[in-house]
Amino acid sequence: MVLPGKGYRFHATGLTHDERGYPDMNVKTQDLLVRRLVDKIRLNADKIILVDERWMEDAKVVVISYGITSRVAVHAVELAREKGIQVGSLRLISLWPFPEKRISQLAGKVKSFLVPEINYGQICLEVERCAGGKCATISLPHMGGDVHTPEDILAKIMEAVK
Amino acid sequence: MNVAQEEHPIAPYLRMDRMPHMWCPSCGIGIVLKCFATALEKTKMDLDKVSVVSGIGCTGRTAGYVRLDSFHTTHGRAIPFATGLKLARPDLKVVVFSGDGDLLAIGGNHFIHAAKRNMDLTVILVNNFIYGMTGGQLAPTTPTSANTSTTPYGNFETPFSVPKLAEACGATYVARWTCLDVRRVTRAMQDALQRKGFSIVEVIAPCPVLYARRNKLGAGLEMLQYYKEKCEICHEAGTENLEIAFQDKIPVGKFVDKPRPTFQESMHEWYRSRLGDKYKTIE
Repeated sequence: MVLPGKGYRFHATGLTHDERGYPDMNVKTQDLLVRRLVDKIRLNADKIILVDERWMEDAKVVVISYGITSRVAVHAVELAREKGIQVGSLRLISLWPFPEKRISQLAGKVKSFLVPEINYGQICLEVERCAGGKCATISLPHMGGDVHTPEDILAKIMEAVK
Repeated sequence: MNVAQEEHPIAPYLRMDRMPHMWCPSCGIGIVLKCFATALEKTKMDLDKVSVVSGIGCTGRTAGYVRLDSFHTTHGRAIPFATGLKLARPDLKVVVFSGDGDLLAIGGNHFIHAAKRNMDLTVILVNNFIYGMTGGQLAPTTPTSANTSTTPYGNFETPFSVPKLAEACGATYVARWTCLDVRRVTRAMQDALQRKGFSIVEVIAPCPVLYARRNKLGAGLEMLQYYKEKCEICHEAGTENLEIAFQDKIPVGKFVDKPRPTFQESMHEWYRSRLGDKYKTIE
């Protein structure tokens, strides 16, 4: 976008707008605008997605976490590794666009995904969708007030590898 | 040349490819826009360095019609957007052009803080006593007893007095006129554009379709007649007693013109005194 004060005298609006930036409220313009905006993300998903993978080489269970929960989740995976359990960690740094391709790839190699999150289970549904039935998806919800303890997650990892 | 073919005097200030505008017949916003264009012309400002920021609502559409760098932002957020623009581009003259609902209700906190900081912004507040675009709901400026779609038995609340609020918060230039008085509105806008700091011009304008119709006040012309009969110029009145009661007198004038250091001036001076040469800035 050009900078203001450079003599272009452009207009910017938050309303549905055409290629000149002028409001133009109709179904056709709305369709073009929304597709253009969403495609900016969709078509560049590979450049935008950020994940942090650890201990993935021989993992049979992968803990998929995001936000504050991932601090606990990664530690729980560390504790499990000390016990010799084959578990990996996929920390989602960006949530949209969702790392569909990577999760689908991993689903073909592992036994299950474990998704701890501070809600009644939201991202676990996305994970389950991307897994496409190739492996199990286990939700580990926590209702908030504080975060999961590493022991909570470790206990669930132990169950999952059985 | 045929008059119909002549270019309108303020056409160079407008995006003529967007005409006709969307305002209702006998709405006052067009008059305020004409005054603004005339004020720009008279102050001979470099138009490449003037930016108009508006929020949402009928007056908010002004940004889309001026041929300047213009931003039609989200509801109530014209002042924060303008603040960011002014901080990043201090060389620009940033004008906030929006309505009473947008600036005083949804954006009320931004308004009081920008005035408190003395942000170098010129605010043109078009006050039509009601929310027009969304269907005639009660606004923070609706006079007591007036009928709106959300107060069908009349409004029992006390409205904001814009000049009193602005002065109390720290505005350095405060004027109020009605859109009947185009020359005074224009002159007030010229003053405000030439002042440094938080300057505000409140312009009372008719909303014939919602405010006037709901209250059986006639059309825009009758509203202008009301302004003509009930306006009282009282420059020296102070901002204490400037409330507008329903269809009662409208105190107008220039109430505050009292410079003080702007946010940016104070900030630079403060950090220079604390940090010396370590302080680097854009000016």
